[in-house]
Amino acid sequence: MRKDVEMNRQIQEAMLEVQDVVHRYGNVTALSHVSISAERGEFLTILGSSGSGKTTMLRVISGLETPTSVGKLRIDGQDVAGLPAAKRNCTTVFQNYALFPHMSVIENVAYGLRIRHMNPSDALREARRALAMVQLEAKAERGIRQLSGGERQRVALARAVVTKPAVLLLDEPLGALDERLRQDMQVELKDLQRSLGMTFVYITHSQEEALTMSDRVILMRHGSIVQSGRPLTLFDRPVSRFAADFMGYENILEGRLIARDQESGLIELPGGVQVRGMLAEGAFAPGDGIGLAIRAERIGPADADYPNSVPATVRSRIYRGKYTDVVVDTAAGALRLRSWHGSHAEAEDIARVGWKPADAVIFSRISE
Amino acid sequence: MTTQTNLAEAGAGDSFLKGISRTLSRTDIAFVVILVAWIFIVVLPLVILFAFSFFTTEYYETVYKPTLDTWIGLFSSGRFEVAFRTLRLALTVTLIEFALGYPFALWLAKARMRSATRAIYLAMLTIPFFLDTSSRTIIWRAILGQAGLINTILMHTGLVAHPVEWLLYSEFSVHFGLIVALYPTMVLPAYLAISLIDDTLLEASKDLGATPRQTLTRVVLPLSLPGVLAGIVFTMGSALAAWVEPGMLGGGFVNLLSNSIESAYTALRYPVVAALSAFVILLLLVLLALMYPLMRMLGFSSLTLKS
Repeated sequence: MRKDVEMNRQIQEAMLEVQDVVHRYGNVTALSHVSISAERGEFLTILGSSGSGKTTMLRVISGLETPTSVGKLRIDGQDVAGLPAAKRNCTTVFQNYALFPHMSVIENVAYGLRIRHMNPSDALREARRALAMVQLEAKAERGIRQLSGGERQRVALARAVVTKPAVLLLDEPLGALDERLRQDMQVELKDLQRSLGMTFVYITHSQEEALTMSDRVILMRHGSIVQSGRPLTLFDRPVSRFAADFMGYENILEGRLIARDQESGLIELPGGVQVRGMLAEGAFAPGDGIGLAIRAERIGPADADYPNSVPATVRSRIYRGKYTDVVVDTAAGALRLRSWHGSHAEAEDIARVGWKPADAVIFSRISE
Repeated sequence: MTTQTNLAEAGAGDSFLKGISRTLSRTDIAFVVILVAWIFIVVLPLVILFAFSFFTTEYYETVYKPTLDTWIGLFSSGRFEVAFRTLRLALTVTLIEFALGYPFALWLAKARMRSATRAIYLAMLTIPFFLDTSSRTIIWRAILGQAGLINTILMHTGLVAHPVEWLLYSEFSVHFGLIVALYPTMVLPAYLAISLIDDTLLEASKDLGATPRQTLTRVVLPLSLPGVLAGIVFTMGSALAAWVEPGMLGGGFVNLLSNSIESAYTALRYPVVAALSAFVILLLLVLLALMYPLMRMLGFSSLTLKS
């Protein structure tokens, strides 16, 4: 009962609802029955590598692409499936910013307002306010060519939010910036989103960006959703081999589930060693073949009496500056350990490696 | 060889600076060379031409004594009228070309089509350039004439009882001939400028709420303005100087400046030729000077022309 109320509230608050989108380019299926939704004020990230369909998804929402078929497409409660891009209550921050080169900074920002026939003085005032929000007031009269990459990024952002859209779509907006600037912009973007209370749909291929900014992450591959959930869930409980790999798990082993309880499972690895791990979302039954994912920095040398460990022999050590990568051979396969400066694994010989059960994830979809 | 020496120089700090100053002086030299060439090839003939317009002719020989007689004769003999007729015709043709050519250029540059299809359209547009103007133009006589194709069809279908006379040897046929001949001149520069516009700019405009019309006037037109200006200059220049079309399709009834120049030239009256030519050039300069503020007034481009 309480759950129903909860769900009703969510449906009312949904700013973006996309149901069952299919999109094909010729013979290539870019989106295969994808459904996503975002609540008011939510920062939703669609994560995936190139060709995953994430950009197509964004273009379907903005109206720049007409999908082959769509069950439902609503923005702020309004059915927009048949509406052209210009009539939809959402704007896009493009990957290459797409600023108009023949207009000054302020003219770019005021564009959406002037298009809506707002009178010039009001439009200029609103545009200045938007520019102040991204700390670019001082460069209002500059030409676009006189701005740095980071500044162009901010202008694009100001131009997109000045019309107060229900949903802001961001297509890898930080992709062209250098590392340092990208980190600063991540913080700024998140602050901006919070202060505007606007729904952001953010496209990226960087798991780091997805984790630091999002309320919820959708991981896509080959035009389908692999996993969606809070950033921590994706980071700690990947549901498939692809998800584990994409979220940076260096070690992925295969084994068989022997027993399970509510949250964890006991598995047998090749070579007969039995270890414990946490169950990711999915269907599990004892006897199933499963995958086990462990991050390199969560594995360390272990004593013979440590329960969650396997015998190992060192194959190689690679010094990488901040840390050293150690590769060991075990009966279950090669494992990579990451040892930070000062830890024992750096120089000592290793006979056994082990990990905490809480640091190992058991997933059921081993072939995808 | 040069690259090697440059690399060797770049090694030491001060010889690197020398390299820079050498490159600078090299561009200076280029500028001087181009300027001198331009003065000799373009300016000097114009000055001589202009000077000739202050001489007169007597018994088929030029009298080298400065006088305003030729210019006075030009305005009193009604050739002044010819100049304005030429100007009116050139402006009309250019305007119609723009109205017909720009939409086509836009479609050619931005419509979804295979690149092979686009190449075919471009070839169709440029191939007529390889044909001689006279042979292209004279065909229209057979089509527009009183016993021509169109009149024959009109008579046979009973739409008209008598052949339509204004189809040939009229201002209509001269306009028509020029519009056909100068279509690529307007379309090609506009096409090039439009195809340089990044598609995401058009998407951004759409995404921000602009109607197709607003995107056209606020983004596409201003950004393609350099191409449009080039198209206008080329078209208008060619129309002002055209003599094949008015000669062949005007049939002596539509006298334009170029025809006057030609007849003066055949009569060996070089000062008149010079004065007429100088007058056309002056007209062109005035038009160009008018065009820039006009474009600004129309709201195109506040910044496009600034780089």
